[in-house]
Amino acid sequence: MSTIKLLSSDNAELAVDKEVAERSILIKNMLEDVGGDMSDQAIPIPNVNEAVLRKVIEWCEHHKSDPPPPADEDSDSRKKSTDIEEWDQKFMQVDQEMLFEIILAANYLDIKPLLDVGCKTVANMIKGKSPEEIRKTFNIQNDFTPEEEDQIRRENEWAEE
Amino acid sequence: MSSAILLSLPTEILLSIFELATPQDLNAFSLCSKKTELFARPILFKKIIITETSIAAFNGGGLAHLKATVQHVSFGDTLTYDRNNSIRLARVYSDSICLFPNVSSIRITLATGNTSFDRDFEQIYYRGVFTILAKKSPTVYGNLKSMNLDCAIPYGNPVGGFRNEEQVDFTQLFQDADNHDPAAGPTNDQIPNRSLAEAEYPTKLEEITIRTNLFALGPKGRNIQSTLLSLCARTLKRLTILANLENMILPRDSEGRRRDASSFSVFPTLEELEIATNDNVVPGLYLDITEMFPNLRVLKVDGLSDKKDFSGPDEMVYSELMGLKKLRSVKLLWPGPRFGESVETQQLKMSIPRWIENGLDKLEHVEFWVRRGGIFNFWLESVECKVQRKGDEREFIWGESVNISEGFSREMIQYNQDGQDGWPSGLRCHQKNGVTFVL
Repeated sequence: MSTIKLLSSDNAELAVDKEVAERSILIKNMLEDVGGDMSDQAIPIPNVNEAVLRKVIEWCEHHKSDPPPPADEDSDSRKKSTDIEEWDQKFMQVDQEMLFEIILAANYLDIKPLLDVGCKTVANMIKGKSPEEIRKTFNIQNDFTPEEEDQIRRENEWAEE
Repeated sequence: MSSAILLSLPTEILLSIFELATPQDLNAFSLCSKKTELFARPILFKKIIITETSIAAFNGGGLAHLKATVQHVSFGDTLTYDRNNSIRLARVYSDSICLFPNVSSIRITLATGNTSFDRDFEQIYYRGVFTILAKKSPTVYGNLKSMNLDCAIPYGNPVGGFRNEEQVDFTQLFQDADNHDPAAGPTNDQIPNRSLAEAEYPTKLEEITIRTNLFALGPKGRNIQSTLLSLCARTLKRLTILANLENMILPRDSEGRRRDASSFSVFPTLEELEIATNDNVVPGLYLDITEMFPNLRVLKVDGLSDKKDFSGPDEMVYSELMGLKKLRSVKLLWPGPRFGESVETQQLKMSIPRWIENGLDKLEHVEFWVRRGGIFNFWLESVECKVQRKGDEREFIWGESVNISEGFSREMIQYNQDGQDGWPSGLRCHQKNGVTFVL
């Protein structure tokens, strides 16, 4: 199995199986463009630091033999569900800063299933919480007057469940 | 952490996070800060309830900037015992749909009872609403993808039932829409007696939900609901009906021919069908379903237990469904008499492999459910089977028979004209997952 090297934003060189790295569509396309031979040159990943890149590679390792996601009809319901498989849940038990870094990296590297898991994790952090609890969780400053908040609350009743 | 790093994520990522959130979560999130409100509300208000106040807010008020995000509108405040007020509101709502250029889905609600007057009222109400929509918002109306005709008996039954029963005034609905002369007076006789033209129906619907009274459906052309269905027969993908399906299907003669084949629609594009039937599941009903909806992938039947007695323990249940070759998921009544013993689970287990031999080889999921217990004190029980494909072989994974009554509520229908306590005329049941049916 061939190995390639990735260069993080903080100049760490990480060796990865090609098959694992190709979970990233960005890297996969890049390798195709250069004809696949990157054995002696590290691919720069300028937006992702070493710690995050290691996490992302760990995820790709675990999911290297996942079947491709179904393209067609069931994708809608799949998208709406916030269920996360157990391994991924544990994987995402990191501090918020790391969580958001992973999401950004997945977005940049074009790893759709990892991005989905990240978004679901954040959605689950909001789930069932009161506004005050959400503010605390994400360190959001309330800049509404009580009257404004009240009006928004009333208007929101027009949203259909 | 000094600032909210969540909100520094790129907008497209934030939006895909909020797409996963429930309306309750979006509500809470929009209340956190001005910035969260900006992100959450365009998603929260994709589906709205229109009321006189909400229309004002969207029409030049504080929510005017969100008009274009609205994709679904639902009539609010019409589920009361004041019919004249419902008519007035239906007029206001129908006039206002053109405010929302991107609406593709509409839920038209209506309070109803179960008298013959209610059935007529329904027809006139829909006729009025459809006429106004076709005239005032032709573009939006013509592009509708989803329509829900939702009738309900309002909660709480005041003495006397519906107010103004003898003086229902339809003029509001038909003023200018039908060139009705208001000076001619407000009685029911003044409603121009004409049917809707085909051009006044939406014809591109992909999804229809009809929860009108149980006897609402009829053969093609008999009433507005039936005509709507037949006009959308070539585009419809999902259909949910709470009504006696038998009324829609024409009886066959003794040689199995339909008496009038021309009033029978075929729905070639329909993939998902959810129906509630009354207790008389007549032989041939599922054959008709197979012919009307030949490409079904999902079939769910809510209702009462099938009264049909099976001839013996070797008989394959639901042999009438074998024409539905694309069926993937099916939920059916556990066959057997209504209050007695049902068919043994063993017989169900034996039937599924035979279904697959008979051509249902796309099948992935089967559920049988049944009502057990007495007339009013009952519970629901269900057993599920997952079909897993292993090469050419199939593995059948059966769950235990379980009580699925959790989250199930029922409400007595005790409507009668005098408001006297009487023998309850029925039960309306609701389940968490949105299933409603009348027993």
